[in-house]
Amino acid sequence: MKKSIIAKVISIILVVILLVGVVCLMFLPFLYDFFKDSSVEAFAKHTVLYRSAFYLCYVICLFIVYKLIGLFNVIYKQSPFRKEIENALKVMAVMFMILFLIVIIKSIFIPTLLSFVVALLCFLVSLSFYLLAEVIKAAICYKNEVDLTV
Amino acid sequence: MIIVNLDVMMAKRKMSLNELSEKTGITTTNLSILKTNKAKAIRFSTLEAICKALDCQPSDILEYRGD
Repeated sequence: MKKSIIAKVISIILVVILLVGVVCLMFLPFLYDFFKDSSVEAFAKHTVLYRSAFYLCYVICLFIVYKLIGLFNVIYKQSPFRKEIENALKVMAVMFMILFLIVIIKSIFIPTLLSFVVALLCFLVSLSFYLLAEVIKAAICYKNEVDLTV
Repeated sequence: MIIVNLDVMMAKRKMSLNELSEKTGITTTNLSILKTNKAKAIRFSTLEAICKALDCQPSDILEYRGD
């Protein structure tokens, strides 16, 4: 399949995000401290919880970006109706569900409106990815049937 | 399940896969799918072409076997 201009831009953005993310991974403690200084007193009270949630979310987000790059490559270099796509989408659904759990656990200890909104968004994105994976699964079955009709 | 006895009919008529492909216009890949019972469905036009080339009835090619 030929890549559209938007698809090309998106794949470049994803690669840039991954590279910047990996580079920033080395400066993660400094990055945390930078945001900590500019935040509210809640940071001081729950440093360990915030730090753990931040690190975990960061790594999961990087993994999601990595998976998205792989997904883009498979879609455009091979075919969109492949088992790898279904699996990648399911993995991303699980990752977003983990993000949701992290944010919701953090929200229980430090309840903020933004946290709940982010948690809800992660939950919805997770469900969307799972739904898409099921659609791809059905499409693969349909394609196999069409391919094997002589 | 439905079994495709294409190989049996081809052997009876002493016809190779390439020869059948040339006579029917069906690709060897698709004939191979039929021969190995991997096909999920068969079009009437395909069945007609095979029956014409092998001079047989659809029942000679397709067979139902209970599980």
